[in-house]
Amino acid sequence: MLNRLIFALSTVLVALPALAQDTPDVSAHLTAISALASDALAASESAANASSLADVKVAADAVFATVWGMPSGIVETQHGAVASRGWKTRWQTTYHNFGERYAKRYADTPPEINDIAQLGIVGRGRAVRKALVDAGRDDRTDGFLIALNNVIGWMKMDDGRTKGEVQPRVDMTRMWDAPKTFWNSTADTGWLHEVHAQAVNILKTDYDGDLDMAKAHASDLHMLVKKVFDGLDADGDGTVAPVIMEGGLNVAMAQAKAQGLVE
Amino acid sequence: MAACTGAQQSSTNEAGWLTLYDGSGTDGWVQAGPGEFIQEADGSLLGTGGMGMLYYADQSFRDFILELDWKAVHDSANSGIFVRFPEQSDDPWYAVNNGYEIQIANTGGNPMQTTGAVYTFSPASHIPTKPAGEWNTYQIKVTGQRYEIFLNGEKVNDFFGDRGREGYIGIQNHDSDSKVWYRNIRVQPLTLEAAPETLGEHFAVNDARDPIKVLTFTTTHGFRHEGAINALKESLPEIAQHTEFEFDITEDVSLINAENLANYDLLFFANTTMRLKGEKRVDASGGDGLGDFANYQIEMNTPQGAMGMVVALSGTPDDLSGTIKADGSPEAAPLTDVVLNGDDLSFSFDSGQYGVLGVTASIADDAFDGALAIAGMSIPMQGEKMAMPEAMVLEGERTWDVSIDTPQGAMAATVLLNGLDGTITFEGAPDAPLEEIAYTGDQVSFAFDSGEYGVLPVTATLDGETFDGTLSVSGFNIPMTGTLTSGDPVTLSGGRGDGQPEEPEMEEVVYLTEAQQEAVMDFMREGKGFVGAHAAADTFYDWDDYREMIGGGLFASHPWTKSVRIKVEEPGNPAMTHLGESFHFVDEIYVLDQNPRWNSRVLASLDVEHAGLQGSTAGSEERGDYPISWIRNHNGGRVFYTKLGHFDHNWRNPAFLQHLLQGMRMAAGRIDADFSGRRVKDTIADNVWPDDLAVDDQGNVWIAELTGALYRYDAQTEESVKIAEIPTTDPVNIEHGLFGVEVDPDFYNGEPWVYLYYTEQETFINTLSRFRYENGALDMASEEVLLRVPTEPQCCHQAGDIEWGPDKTLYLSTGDTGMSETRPDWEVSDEKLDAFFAEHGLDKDDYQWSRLVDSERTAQNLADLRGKIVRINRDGSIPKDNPFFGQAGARWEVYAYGLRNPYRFKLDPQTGYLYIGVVGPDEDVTYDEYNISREGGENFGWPRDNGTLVYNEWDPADIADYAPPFWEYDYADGGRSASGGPVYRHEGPGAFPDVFQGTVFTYDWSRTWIKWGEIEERPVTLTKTNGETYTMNTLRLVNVKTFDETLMEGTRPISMELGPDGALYVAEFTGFWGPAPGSKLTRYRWVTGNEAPVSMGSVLGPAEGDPLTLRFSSKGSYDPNADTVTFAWAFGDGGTSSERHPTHTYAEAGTYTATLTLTDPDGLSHTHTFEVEVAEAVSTTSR
Repeated sequence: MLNRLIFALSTVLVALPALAQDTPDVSAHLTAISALASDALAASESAANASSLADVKVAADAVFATVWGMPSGIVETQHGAVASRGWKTRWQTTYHNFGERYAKRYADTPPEINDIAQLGIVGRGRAVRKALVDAGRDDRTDGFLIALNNVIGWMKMDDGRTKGEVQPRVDMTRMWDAPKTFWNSTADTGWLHEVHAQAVNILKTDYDGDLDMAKAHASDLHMLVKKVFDGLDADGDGTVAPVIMEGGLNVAMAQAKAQGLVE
Repeated sequence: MAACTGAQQSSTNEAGWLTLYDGSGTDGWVQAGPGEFIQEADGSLLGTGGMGMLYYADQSFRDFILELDWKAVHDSANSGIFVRFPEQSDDPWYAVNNGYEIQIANTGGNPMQTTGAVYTFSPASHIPTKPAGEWNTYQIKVTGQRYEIFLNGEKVNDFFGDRGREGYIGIQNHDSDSKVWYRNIRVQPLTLEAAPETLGEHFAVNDARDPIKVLTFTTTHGFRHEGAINALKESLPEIAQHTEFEFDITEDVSLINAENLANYDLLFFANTTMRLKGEKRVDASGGDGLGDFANYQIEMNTPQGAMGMVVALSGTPDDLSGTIKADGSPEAAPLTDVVLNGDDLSFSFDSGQYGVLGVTASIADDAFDGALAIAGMSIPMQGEKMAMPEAMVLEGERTWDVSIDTPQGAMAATVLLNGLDGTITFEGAPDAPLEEIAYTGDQVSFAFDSGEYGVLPVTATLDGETFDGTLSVSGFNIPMTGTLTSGDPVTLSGGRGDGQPEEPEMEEVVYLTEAQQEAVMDFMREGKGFVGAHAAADTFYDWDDYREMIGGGLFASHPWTKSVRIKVEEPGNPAMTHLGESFHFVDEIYVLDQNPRWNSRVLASLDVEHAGLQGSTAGSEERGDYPISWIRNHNGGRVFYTKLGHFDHNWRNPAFLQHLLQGMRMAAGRIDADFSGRRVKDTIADNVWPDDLAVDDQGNVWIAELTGALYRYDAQTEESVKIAEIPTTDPVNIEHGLFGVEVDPDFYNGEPWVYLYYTEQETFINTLSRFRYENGALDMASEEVLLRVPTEPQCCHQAGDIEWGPDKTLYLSTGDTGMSETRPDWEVSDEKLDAFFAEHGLDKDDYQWSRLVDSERTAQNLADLRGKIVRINRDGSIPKDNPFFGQAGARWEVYAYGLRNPYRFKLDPQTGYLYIGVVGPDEDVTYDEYNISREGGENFGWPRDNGTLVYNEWDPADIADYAPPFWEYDYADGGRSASGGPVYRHEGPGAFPDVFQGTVFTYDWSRTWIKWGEIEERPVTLTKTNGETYTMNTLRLVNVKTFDETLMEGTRPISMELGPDGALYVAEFTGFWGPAPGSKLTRYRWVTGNEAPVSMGSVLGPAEGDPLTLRFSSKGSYDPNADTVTFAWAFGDGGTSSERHPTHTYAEAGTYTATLTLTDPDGLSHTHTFEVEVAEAVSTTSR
């Protein structure tokens, strides 16, 4: 079952159209994001009901891959570091974006991955956000982008200006006037990163034969993936709205459809 | 007479206690003087009116213990208990003047007149009273002439008197405003066979001992502690009568010569203020006389604003006096302890409200550049020399009838002035001539010999017919006021003078010749002892050997003249065993210009926190460490020094004298004590640019350079060799690179792994990996990646320290990697800011930035590893006892969070606590801070709080798992880079003294210091932008001391480790983005135990008339530990000798190679080889 799931997942990753940086296909990538998230939901549910530690770990690795589009690189008997994307890959940027003084130090080779489709939900989500913001949308007011940000996090490559210099700058300063409830939530850095963290935890834990503990952790993983879809009713008004700290992927997709971004 | 009566029946119980008053009546008691005692409903006695006394008339007492309870209506209520006044009298002053009064007055101002004092004789060491209105208990133990006072169970006074041996007991009704109640008065008469009648009897030695001959100097070329010197001249001979000590006390410096010193075991400088050289006025009359010196118009910048004042100095550089007068103040205060050393001036004065304050200043180039020390603060005082007005002298004879308002009552006297002559006459006493008469502005100053109290200075304002002055005695100012009774009214118009030439001719005086100096050093080389007390550190500033002998530091200032608490650091030392873990003492505590701790074995030190210094020692110039007494070896001799002994009463205090006498016995070698111990700093590698280091179990040091190079210092070969070059990023402008290094705790047990935290090139993933060490190099192919922390190529805050836990888990510090600024205009446009402040009704200027939201994504994000302490197993897996293990959505490697740039931290293997130094933002209203992680899971608050500042709308309650810092400091003293150093724990060879055990080290690269302190539970108050405060108890760093204040010159500490040898290893990193000269690896060691002797042989010359017979000398030879050594001479012709200074006859003239070998009892030896020319003329050449 799990092996089939992983196979299907990799098929999806390969089959989906690439979003070139200059001409992003928002619709295709939103469809892919939805599919990847669904795969993560299925994988996490399988993990929670797995019959062996190996199955739990394989499923966690599958969830891990949906986030960044790459496997963790470790298997059940290994407990070292999980694989990680470097900064150029995660942010799909080149020295051309920044001042010469800074770019010189970072070398002038382009990002290792030019195909956004290899980046998983986060990379695709950032590409979609960048395309729409570049097209004039404000991700603090646009309902779709707000919900997307709740999922992938509000961190952003902005104009990279600090102390009057242009440099590679990932930050959240644009949210400087958000209420403290926002900072005390996990929506600021995105619910998908909780999913990633939980998957890493499961992969790096030496369960020493304790399947029950592993399955409990996998249940938590499944819960976190569900939150990615469902979002939260942060203000307790009985609805999950396209506002900060509330809307998840379901709201994002509904907004996308309403806005004609996807069919 | 007493108003209360009753059926009080004195009774004695089985324990021998005699009840004098139990609330049932005052039979046996008699009232003397005004006022009365009233029996209250609760049975207590209330004194009213006064001044009078209620005394127990039925019986007098000889040796006894008196106990009673008392309470006062307010802290300034005055009363006292009289003991041992020998006769019954209707005059209460009889008891004051013939017995002793144990004082009650919590806010007496004058320590001699405050609770716990033996009134006017001995102040309380401290005053542990309860709040006004609550009952206190006095126990007064009187045995022989010893008076021991206990207040609420704590000993507060210990004094030897000389008044009546037996007498009555009474209680005082002082005045109508001083309501003081008494109850439960009882006494236990003691029958003692040999109660000590004198200090000598108290210290009596009963066994036979060889004499300790002490040559004692009290010579003063600077300030003279007249009272203390007079007191010691009385107490030491008393002691000598009953002990092995023989004191020769002198002021004659000519007695310092080799021949005379040979007669003594010890040289004792007791409150000396000697100088090698001085100046003396060429004066036809032969006296030094007073002359103009200088007046300075000064402005002092107090926290309340600027204050003008005039400091007037008169006299000669060696004998200065003067006054200080604030603008608008009705009178000037006389200066005390005035010392001028070159251009460096220091003095004290009684400020009244704030007690005695010290001033230090430079008066170079007619400018006054100084500071006033008050309550741990330093208030700048700056000004310039005033033009000296034309000299003026009050002309014509005038007399004033004056009244001196002493604590014992008013005394009448007559003052006569006629220019520079005058007298003072007390009733029934002969005229006393006035000395040192000088006029300053509208004031006159003079001094006179009072007899019992020595020479007393007076300063008075003369205006018309009034005389308004003060008389100084024992450091206290007593009002002296009067009216002109003959002569014309006085008009002094601001001139100043004393009739002497404005620029008197001076001549140089040599007080101590080079030969005398050498004689003292030879005295020490011969294994003798030196003892210094108090002002012996205000002595011989320009004699380096003397400075070194007493520990390296000489007087710089005396900020504290009051009751202090002193911590005993070596409670087992014979000079300290009677003092417990700490003791209180009233004295003047010197601050020395260098810390003797590093050259000495410190026996006791000032309790810094008790002195009010805690929290003010982040400035690199502040030492925070003030040893009180210490011992040390010096060139074969033994040195004991105590800072105590300023006041005359100290020299009648049994505890102080016991401390001193035992110190003398140790210095004389009569009591065994280990005098060894000093700190040594070595440079062990100067070919490295170290940013981190690790010391393995065998003492080898692994040194990381930011640019990727890894070196290994081999403890055997003492060489540092590069063993790897890790490909990493260029750290310039970004702080990525090779951050940290550690070696496996089982490195020498089959796990030869080296752990590195570095930045992968291109990816900017900070990577914790381990590599095998094989064949003298790292096997780069063996890399095992244990943890990856993705970052971006933006500056800064990478942190990156690695430490092992006692369970062999690995801790790593990570920075927030952000650029959050505390300057909003660097991040957000003015328009947005203005709109925000308008919306929230905030004033931009009052709004302590910042919403440092960029760091929220890292430091406060539990799904991210940045801004954390993380903890993993050696194989990279996650320990299941990590605090967030199992918490959904958090990274379970996280151990603690909310950190900005925890660049360096250390783990205490005994407690498991982490001590984390955190570099803070660059702005005035921010802090660097230090945090403790006790059990993991703590949130240290960044970016919601910083130090004790809580940002904007945040509240500690909003910050989950919040833990406040254990230390923090702002920009008041410059740049900052707080770093957490090791907790010192090492026993056995190489260990620093016990006082270091368990202390926490901190260091600061920007400020170039290393400090150490203790961790104690204390309250800390956090302050929010709007002024709200939050106080909570937590662990705090107290008694912070500077570890290195002089050795860290030109370099900066960036990493620090405790080695297996007890030494402290320091990476000194200079340059910022690239190496600069001075970078090196250094090591601080504590050296104790036996050291080899030092030999020095020479030929003095031929015997008279026999050029073949030479006189040899071992002068210059010594044993550092003052052990008895053997002398072995070989004269180069087969002849030998074991004498110290032999004579040898050669068979024929020629050149011979002679040797002198000194060997100590442990077999350590040293040989000096030199050539001997045997001919008509003799010369030597050392090799």
